[in-house]
Amino acid sequence: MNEGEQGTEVQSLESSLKELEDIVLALEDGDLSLEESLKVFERGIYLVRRCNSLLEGAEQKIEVLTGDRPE
Amino acid sequence: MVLAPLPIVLNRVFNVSELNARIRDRLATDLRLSDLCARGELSNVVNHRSGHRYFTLKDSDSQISCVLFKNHGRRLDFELENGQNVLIFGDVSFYHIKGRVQIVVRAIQKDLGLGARHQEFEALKRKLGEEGLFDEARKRPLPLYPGRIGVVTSPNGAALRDVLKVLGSYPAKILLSPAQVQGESSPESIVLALTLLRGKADVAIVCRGGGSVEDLWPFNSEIVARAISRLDCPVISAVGHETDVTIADFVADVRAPTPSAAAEIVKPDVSGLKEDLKATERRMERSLAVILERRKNRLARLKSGVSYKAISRRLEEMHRHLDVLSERLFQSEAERIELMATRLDVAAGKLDELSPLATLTRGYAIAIDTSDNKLIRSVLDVSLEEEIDVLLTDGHLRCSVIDKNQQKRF
Repeated sequence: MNEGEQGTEVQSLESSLKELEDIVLALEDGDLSLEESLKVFERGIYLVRRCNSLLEGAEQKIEVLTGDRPE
Repeated sequence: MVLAPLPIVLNRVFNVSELNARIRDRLATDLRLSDLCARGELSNVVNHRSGHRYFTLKDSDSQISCVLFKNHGRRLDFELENGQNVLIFGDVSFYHIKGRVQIVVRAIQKDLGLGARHQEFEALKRKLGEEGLFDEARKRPLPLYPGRIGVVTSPNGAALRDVLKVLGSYPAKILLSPAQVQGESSPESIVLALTLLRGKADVAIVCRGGGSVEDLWPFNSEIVARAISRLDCPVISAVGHETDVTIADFVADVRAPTPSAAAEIVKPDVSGLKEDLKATERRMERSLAVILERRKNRLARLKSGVSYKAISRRLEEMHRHLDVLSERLFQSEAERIELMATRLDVAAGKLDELSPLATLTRGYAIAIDTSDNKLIRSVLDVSLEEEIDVLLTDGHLRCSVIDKNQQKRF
């Protein structure tokens, strides 16, 4: 039942990368106000750091599914 | 009857023995015809009382005679029967006495239905192919950065070790869904393992290491093929070695030659990803710099717009506006004063009417005691010889009381 919890951290690699893409596009678009730009930029840098640390500090996580028949 | 003339080039005439000897020699020197394996179906099986066994090996189109001599047949652990699929090992030989080509069999084993299995394989492949299960359009793209990688394989196999080794420290959760990858109940086990991954994985690897065709057979089963096609995430198959192809490979979204290769396909290029991140950071910085530059330019433009002329014009405007406003204010003030004056007049008129002094114009007079400026209301208020003031409408009279009389005059 805790499917949502499964791999939240790793899922955020994918979603972080996606968010990063959006941020880059928004920044390049240049439609944001200065204040928003700075905020978005800050968020982008945070995401880059986070992705890097995910890629560096990861240990192999293995979960063995039990053979119980689902439902 | 006249025979047709024989061809003239008869520089050598064989007798039959010589001919057969030549054929035999020819066959005996062809290395490809000795120590060979052949597969086919048995027919015309004869268990000769001498202990030799004679039979024909055939497939749908051809047949060849075989002999299993007593000395080689001794170790045989099953009875030869017509219709059996067998694998034989032996040499092609020429039985010159009868002019017959045959295989001298040195070993024979049941083909465990492989011939039939091959047909089964082809039939299933055709069936699923016709259903569209192998269509390119059905192939799902693999996720770029999978967070949850399902692995269906034996928990003890080399395949799993290989996969884990390749995935290494890539930050994904690996969901091992253990399956029995060979043996009788293997297909059901694989199907169950696949089903367990439903809704849990972004991509799944179905794999096992190399083995005999028999060992890999579960991956040719229909239920496994259907379970792969039904899984809600893309599936990569990696069964056996590069040369092994199974039905599972056809159904899977991607076929990998080996389990390691499957893992390589699933795993994003981490160093490339890091490069991308670096590039992304630079891009953001550049964009921000551009944004800042643009603001700076805009500010500069605005600044240049604030000239002395513009300011004095603006001031002038403001002055004019102020004039208008003050004029209006002034005007309205004058009106207000006028209004108030009118109101005052009205009020004064009313006041006049009510004033006791107004009665004086009608001939009344008011007598005031000069000593205390009080109204005199009674003859008793004054004494003889006292001076009083009598107010009339146009002035007052200073009088002296000459007489007091308490009787009313009118």
